[in-house]
Amino acid sequence: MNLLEHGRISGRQFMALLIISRMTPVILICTSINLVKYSSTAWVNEALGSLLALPMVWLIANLSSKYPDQTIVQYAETLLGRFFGKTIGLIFIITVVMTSATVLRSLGETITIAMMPGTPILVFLLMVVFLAANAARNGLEVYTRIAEILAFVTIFIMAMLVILNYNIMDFKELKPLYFPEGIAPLIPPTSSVLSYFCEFFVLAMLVPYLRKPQQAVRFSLLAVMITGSMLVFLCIGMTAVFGGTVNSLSLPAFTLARQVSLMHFFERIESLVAIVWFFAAGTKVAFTLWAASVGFAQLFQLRDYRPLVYPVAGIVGSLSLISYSSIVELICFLNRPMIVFSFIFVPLLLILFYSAHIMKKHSSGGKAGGTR
Amino acid sequence: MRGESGWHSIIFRRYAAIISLMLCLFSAGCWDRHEIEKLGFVLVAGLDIEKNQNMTVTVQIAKPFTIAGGFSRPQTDERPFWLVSSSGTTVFEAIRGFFKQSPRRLFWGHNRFVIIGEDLARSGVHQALDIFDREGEPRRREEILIAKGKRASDLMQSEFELERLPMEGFEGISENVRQGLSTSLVVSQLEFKRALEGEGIEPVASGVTLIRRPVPAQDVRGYLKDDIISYSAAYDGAAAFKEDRLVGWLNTRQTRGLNWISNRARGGIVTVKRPHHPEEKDSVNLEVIRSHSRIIPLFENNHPKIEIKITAEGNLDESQKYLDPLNDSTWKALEAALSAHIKNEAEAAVTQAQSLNTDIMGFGRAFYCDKPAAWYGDLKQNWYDIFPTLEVQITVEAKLRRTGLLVRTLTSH
Repeated sequence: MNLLEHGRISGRQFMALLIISRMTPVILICTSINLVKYSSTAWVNEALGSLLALPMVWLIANLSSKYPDQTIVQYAETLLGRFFGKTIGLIFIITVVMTSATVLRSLGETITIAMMPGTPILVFLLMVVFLAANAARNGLEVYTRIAEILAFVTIFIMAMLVILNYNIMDFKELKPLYFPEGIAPLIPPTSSVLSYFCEFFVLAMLVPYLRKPQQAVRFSLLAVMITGSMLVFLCIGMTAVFGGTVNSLSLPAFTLARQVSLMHFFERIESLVAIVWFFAAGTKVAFTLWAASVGFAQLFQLRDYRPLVYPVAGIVGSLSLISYSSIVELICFLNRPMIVFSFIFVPLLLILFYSAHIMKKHSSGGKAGGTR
Repeated sequence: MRGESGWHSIIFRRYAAIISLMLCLFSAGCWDRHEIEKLGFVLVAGLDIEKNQNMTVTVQIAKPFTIAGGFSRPQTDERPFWLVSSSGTTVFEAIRGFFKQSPRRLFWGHNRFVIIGEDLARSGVHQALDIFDREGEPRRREEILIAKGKRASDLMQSEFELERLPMEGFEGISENVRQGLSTSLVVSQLEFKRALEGEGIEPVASGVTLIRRPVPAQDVRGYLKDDIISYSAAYDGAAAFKEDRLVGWLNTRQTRGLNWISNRARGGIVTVKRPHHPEEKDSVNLEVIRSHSRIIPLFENNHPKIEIKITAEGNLDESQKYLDPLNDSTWKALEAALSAHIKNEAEAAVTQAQSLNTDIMGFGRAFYCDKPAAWYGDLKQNWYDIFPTLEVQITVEAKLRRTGLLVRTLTSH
């Protein structure tokens, strides 16, 4: 089988990459919080979304571990035949490219809103996509190693932001845990949280490059649990600090960092968050660029994926620029079409793959998957 | 591989190095560069509304060159700040208006106080405060002060004898009042907005009055060269809002009552009569060092009722006449007097809030937090019909701890 990439990663690095991918949209623009109606129940959405993500991610990881030497693009072809397999593979890669463009744009918007309002967004987009493309060209091991360090740093900084704000927190803002209109207002924010977890489907590109592919299920579920508890923790902190105003903020994590002030001395630490923005979003862009390039190369059975990285980066860069004309459009996209799309696409793919897998297993007498 | 050799060849690397060095030339500048010498740091901002609904923003901008060097070097005679104002249909337009007058770009990141004129407060502060949340520079830590019966621009004329910058004066007084008196509040932009957005609670902010000090015959006031400080400011009571409109004032006693109830009080002195001598004037000072309160929402025969439990800890600080706390009944009587006094103040605050019909204590919030079903049931819609006649029961349990370096007062006979 044509794996194209010679790097191998450990289970921990795999988990770190997934954690970074999921934390990035939260520390940039946290769109799921904008959908919350009753701020005191905001954390419930994060918890529910993460819990619902567990079975979904298990299904995704389990499927991949059945084909431990094939990426999703390859086993789509094995399972669904040449035409359908390639079509599904292409759609999958396009969603990865779109994810990449969205992350890139969120990063650009965030920096433009928070720090450098006069600078054209194109500057940040080009800079980050160029760096990420170089990281992706250098192979899987390079950016996963960044991710391994960064996952820890990200979690640490985010936890510090919450803890350092203890002096202005009002835990009464977290009461009551009451839903006057039933669970209906919980559905949009919870599905938003879950839709970001749908991005975990990209792990299907990573599994064959694990040193021990059978670890994929365990570490991806661990990643969901770690990010889930982090999301709940952050959300509780934000609600305790901002109270009812939390769902009106465009950059909650950044605003949280701006509130930190200990003894009028330890304050203005938002640049720490900006560092996390650049590295986390940059790593995620690199990861998605790599996944898309490898996917394309496997789809068209090329010998090397590296010549594809710059062109894909160009597509991602320009898509991020032209897809959204404003932050309002970006948030609206992430909060409506994106959720609907993920909720159709992911179950559809899972049903297709699993039914094909079961059929294949029966026809070939219990022997499924490629041989290593 | 062919691609590999091209990419890693020496010549290519050399060119790449030269090109990337040249790229450094372009990276020296950026669009959002702000040199610190070109910024004017806003220290205090005042907001007013005009008759024609225009907004006037008055700011004090630091003049760093007058402060540099500290105490050791002789300072210039200039005032260390520049007071300037600008008008516009909105606050942001007014702020941009400063571009016409100020050679330095205004920087809001170090702004510590937002003073709001009473007229603006009465016509609604929300119209003026949006920009402080939306803009990237200000933090939500600015304290909100309401100018009692004055315009913010008047109040910003005030200076303080012990500090060169009025901002530092306000800061010091704010800290003192909070620590030692509790007769005013310290409310940050964030807390104000939280109360504004919150269910069943209305915002409060500290009130500030202007003190005009006439020229006495024997002039002993501070001089900044020929300029006499004739206006100063003092914290005085609290402003009670209903939604974003100022509806009335709490005097110092009521404000402290509010602080006891809403758990903001940190300290304060209480003057009571000497035990067993009700005919005398107040002569014993007790200092409260710690207090805690709980608001308990109840239903009694289907009627909402609020129970407030306050515990306080204090010390005996002064007694003008002979007092012997070692006599057990005296100590107990003092504690009872302290409890009664705190209860009195808390009741005064409740009465004032009920007469203004604004729930600044957050009684509605207590119901919302503990009995959300009842709150959403019918309390929320009818809250301001219920609130003015809401039964509030306050119990105070005060403990006295220490007597300072004296146990009993020295006797004069």
